[in-house]
Amino acid sequence: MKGQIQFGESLMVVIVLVLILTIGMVFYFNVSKGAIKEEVRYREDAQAVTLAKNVLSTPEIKCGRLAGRGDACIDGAKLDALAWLIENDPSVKAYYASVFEYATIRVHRLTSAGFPVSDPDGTVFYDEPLDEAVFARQFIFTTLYDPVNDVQDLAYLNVTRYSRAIS
Amino acid sequence: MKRGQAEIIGLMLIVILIAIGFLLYVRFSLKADSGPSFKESFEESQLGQTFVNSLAKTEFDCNGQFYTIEEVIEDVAKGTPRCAGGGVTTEERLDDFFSQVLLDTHYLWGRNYKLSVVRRTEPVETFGISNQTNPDIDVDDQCMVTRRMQRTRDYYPLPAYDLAIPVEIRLELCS
Repeated sequence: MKGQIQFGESLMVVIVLVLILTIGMVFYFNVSKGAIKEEVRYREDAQAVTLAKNVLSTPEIKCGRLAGRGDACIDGAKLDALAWLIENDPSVKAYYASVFEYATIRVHRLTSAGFPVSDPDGTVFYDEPLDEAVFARQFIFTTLYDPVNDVQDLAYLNVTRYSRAIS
Repeated sequence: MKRGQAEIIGLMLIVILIAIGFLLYVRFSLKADSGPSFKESFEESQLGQTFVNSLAKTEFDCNGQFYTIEEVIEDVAKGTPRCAGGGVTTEERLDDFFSQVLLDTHYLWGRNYKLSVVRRTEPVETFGISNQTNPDIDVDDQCMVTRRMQRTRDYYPLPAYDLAIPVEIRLELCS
């Protein structure tokens, strides 16, 4: 009888230890998973920043040297022309899909011909969304050269980069 | 194993478990209170820096002629403003311009901002162009020099060669 009680005690100790270890492991793996998700999100955000900067430095839309508008400047006419091409020419769209990947890039004007304007919806420059995706959004300011009026306006890019969600 | 030894081992086990629990608690509470991450600070800073740089190079309608904001501010700082008209001073026109631009951006994004154009004296002084802050945020919670806040501060220094005291456009983003 005494032996049975001692065996029962030992068994209970082992069960409790296994339970504590299991809880600890579950907790540890959950924390690790959270940290990995956070790291992935960080990288997505960093890539959104990189994408926004890459858009600004795309030579096809940068202000020409003759306009003399400095480095951080987009030419509005080139931007409109490229947006039209991306939307209407599948080969151009395929090329830019390899450059910008899954993203939506909008241009919001803040001034026009020297006066403030409100443009909350912006103009879509590139749109290649991904279903059931996580996204990182990044805003970046730039100047937008208007070659018709020969004036440099203020604008910002609203860059949303999509990537597949990890479960 | 004697009964006393078994009890000591049990006690040690409990102490070790409590210590591990306490260490985990300390680790996660410190992580939660660590403020904005490097990434958030970087994003805020690049947002502020691109804003002031682009704003300075934006052209402003001065009675039918275009001058960059930087040129208009420089003239105000020199005491020779050139954009007055229709009973409105250059400084008031700049205030309206900045206010509208900020309402469509940082205000819309719910940020606690302060845009100022200052002379780089110690302490800094303004010269007719008003500070712009988020109107939805209480005065006590706005970006104040006297309060300890997490903030990024970005500057655009105007060319100083023909200004007696250097002037800068300054944007602060606070949390």
